[in-house]
Amino acid sequence: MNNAYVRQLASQGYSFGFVTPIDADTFAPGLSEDVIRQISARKKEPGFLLEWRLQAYRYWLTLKLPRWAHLEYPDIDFQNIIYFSAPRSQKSGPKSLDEVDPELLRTYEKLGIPLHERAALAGVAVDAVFDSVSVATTFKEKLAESGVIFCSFSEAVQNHPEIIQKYLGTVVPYRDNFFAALNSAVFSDGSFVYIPKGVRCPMELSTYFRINAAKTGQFERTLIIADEDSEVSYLEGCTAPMRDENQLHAAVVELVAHKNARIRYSTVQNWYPGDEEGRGGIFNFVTKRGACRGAHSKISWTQIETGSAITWKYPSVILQGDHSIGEFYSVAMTRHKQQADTGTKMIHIGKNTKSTIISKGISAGYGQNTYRGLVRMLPTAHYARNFTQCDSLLLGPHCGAHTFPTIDVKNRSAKVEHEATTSKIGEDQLFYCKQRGIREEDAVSLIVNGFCRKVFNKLPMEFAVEAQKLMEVSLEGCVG
Amino acid sequence: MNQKKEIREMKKILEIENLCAEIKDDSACAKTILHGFSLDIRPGEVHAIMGPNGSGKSTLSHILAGKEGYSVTDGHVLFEQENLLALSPEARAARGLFLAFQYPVEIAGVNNTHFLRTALNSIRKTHDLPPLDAMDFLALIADKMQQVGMDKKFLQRAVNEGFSGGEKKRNEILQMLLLEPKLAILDETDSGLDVDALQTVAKGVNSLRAPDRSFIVITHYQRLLDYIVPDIVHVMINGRIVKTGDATLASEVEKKGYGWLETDHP
Amino acid sequence: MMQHTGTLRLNFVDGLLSHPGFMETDGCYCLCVPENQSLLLVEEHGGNPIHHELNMEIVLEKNASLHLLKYQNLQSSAHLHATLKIIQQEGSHLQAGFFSKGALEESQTLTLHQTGTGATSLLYGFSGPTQDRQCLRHEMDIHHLAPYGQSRMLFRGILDGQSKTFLRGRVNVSPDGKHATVSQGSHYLLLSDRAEASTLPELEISQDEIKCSHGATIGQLDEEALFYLCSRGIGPDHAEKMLRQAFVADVFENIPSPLKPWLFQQMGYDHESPV
Repeated sequence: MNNAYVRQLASQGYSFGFVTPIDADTFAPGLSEDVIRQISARKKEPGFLLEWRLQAYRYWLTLKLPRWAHLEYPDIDFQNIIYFSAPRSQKSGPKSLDEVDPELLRTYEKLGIPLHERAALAGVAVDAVFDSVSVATTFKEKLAESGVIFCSFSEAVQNHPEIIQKYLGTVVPYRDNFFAALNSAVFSDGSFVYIPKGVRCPMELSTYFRINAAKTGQFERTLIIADEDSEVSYLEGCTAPMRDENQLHAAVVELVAHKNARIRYSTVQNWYPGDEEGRGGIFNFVTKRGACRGAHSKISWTQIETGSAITWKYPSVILQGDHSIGEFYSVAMTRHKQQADTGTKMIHIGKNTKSTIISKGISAGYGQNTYRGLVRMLPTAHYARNFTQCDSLLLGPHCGAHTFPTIDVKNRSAKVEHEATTSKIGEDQLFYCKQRGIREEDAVSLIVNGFCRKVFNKLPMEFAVEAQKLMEVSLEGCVG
Repeated sequence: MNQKKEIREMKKILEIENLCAEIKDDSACAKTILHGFSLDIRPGEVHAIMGPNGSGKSTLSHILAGKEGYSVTDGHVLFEQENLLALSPEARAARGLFLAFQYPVEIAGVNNTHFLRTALNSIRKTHDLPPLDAMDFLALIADKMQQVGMDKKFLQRAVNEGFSGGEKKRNEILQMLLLEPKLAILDETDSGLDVDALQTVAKGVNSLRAPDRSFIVITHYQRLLDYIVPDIVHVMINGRIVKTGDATLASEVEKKGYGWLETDHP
Repeated sequence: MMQHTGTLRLNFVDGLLSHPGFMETDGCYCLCVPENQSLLLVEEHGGNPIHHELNMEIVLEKNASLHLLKYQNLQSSAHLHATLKIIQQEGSHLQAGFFSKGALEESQTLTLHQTGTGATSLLYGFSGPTQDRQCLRHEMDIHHLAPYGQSRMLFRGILDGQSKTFLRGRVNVSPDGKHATVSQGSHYLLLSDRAEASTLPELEISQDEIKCSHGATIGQLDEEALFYLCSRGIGPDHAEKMLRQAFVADVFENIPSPLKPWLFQQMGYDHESPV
């Protein structure tokens, strides 16, 4: 476990708020076909990809910024965003950590994730995306031994264009929604993972993100493909600096699981939430979707969300393959003036498919937490099963918790069970803890932890500890 | 003579003087439950409080422990000469007050061991003692669990979740053995217990009897008092004590019921 | 607004209301239940015409009590659109039952505002077995605008043929709706391959002194229960009938006693059978 990172998390306030003064190769703000061509040229992309970006861009132009019932945000000026910012580094890119720009490594030290330490102790390969360009990919060689490809998206475009062309946009087409279209047009970089047939990825894969230069929207694109009988666990954790203007984060993540394959995708999100008045936080509009293409495949989404000013994300699973399984475990916390509209979609197409949704929402301060879920059983989903448990905890009289589940069944042998509760922390429970000598803040923390236990148990071990620490820090000052 | 009386006065662990309290129910109307309740307890004493349903026994225990939803309209409570009612529940616990609940609440997802260790360490902290680490704590708790006849598997469960009535009561006594309070209030600990469980509970309580420790055993029936023999028995009706005696009073109540006392004190 | 107490049986046969003293103003029937009074209102739709439309507004004054029973058994190509707005003042009690047997298309919209302290509302209903291409739509919208309100929704349905049902049960608890108790339940059985059920139990909660829960299930009769009954010598058809009877029990028990025999029979259930 990375102690520096944990220490940082445990300290008061938001400790990751700083800017790295690096010489960045930055475009002027604004978006046009020209900008897109420049992005594509800068990355030396093949023709099919530029064409795809342009189609997405032209489609995006026909769309309007969506407005959701339970989210309030100002109009976003898309011309006032910088769409490309890459730190200047050696021409051919670093081949090992030793070759990485020392200033960059110092940045990661400050963030508490020194690549050296992680590399030596945890054995976790880290793909550190710094602004728009992936900087270092450790353990590439070790993974390459088992045939696992874990590299930046840009690298994958260069080295494996045929895979990109085969899968890109097949799970989240650019027509899917406004932010997916924008992302498809201007995505900067992200992660690419391919696990070959029969391979169990030997280590947890992880990525850290950071938005640095002012006005840089972050548009990551991640694609993970698990071929037949393979397995992979992927961790995503984010931090961002303090800013006055809101910063946009519109990522797209596509997962494809073939027959008998398993993908576990975990996120611990710690984007800057805005100050107590709600100023300056990150806008997080993300489209994440997994396709269980093959029979007996499985995709699990686990997320702990405590940051960002606005969160809009619905990690979903399309259960195509017979006997495939989709899971969604989520803890979402909103406080001060944060707003979250999150949930999941489970679309059952194949026979005997199964989905489990456990969503825990915690609202404090003036936070607004909305769960939006869709469980759909199509006529072909014979003997499909869903179980949903969606609970909300209110800490304080000014916050809000809303649930909008949609349950849609078109097959008579399918079964859906949905339960939800909304309440504040039980006075009896608080009193019980206090009578045993436990302080109120500690009692709240204990009970909230218990409330989230089912979700924490689904996280990979390292993340579970981080997640708990994050919750504790987030709960400070939220009681009452 | 006066000096002896003063020493006796100083040694009281609990002094309740003319306590009047009301409960706020759902329709926001107040209902008086305690009507001038008075009680003195000295270190080492075991007091039993018996009374019919609705006499205010649980209200008394809740108010002493600091539960919200009640307001004290008259009287005072001193715990070791300190104003008890001015303290928060956790501060009262830190000073050595323990309540074994009649209906222990369940707390989903919170591991029982973790909860017990957190409680113990919170109290240790207020006494400037270092916290116990996981290993030392497990050794300590294993011994206590044996004393109350609780299976080790309950350490893995969430607090009281899925525990039977008897198991919940044992968990309360376990906590009492662990936290070693100065004054333990047992609120109808015997309700719902079979004879075996009752004996185990009594054994746990009796093992803690000491010159510097006091108990208030609140019970509806006399049965428990066969095993936890009290020094003083009080009968509580309509929110105050109407009769005080020794252990034989309990047998008298068992034979005659509460009626004879109620008519005397409507 | 006209005041009514006692029992009022409204028969919408052939689209016309055949009851004196119940007037329509601007396409809407308005009535109020006066303070401390109670009213049992039966709204029955039957007959031949294709289009039925009904708009009603009801005010329950302080401590008033209304039991509204809506029942339709329209012919198989009929359309029924009904909207209902109810305002509940302090201490009032509402029970509203929705029972659907016929029609090609039915849509029921209810908007309920609890404006006074301590109001209680129960919305319940059953449809089915629906047949052919029947399409039923219920939109229930409850607003807790005052403290100590209680609301409960319980809807069940059995769907066959190519029928569809849609239920949106929205409960909004405003910051003034402190100490609200809310529960929702919606449960459907699908009997055929082409029947469809959609349920959207929605909660909008804006303060913390509440207890809310909801549950929804869509599925089949419990196979194990069926087997259990059969293993005790009960024929499969009878076993299924028993389980269906049990399925509807908690909805049907809310029907006012004097109307139980009639409504049970209309819906095709056995009133005498204990569950």
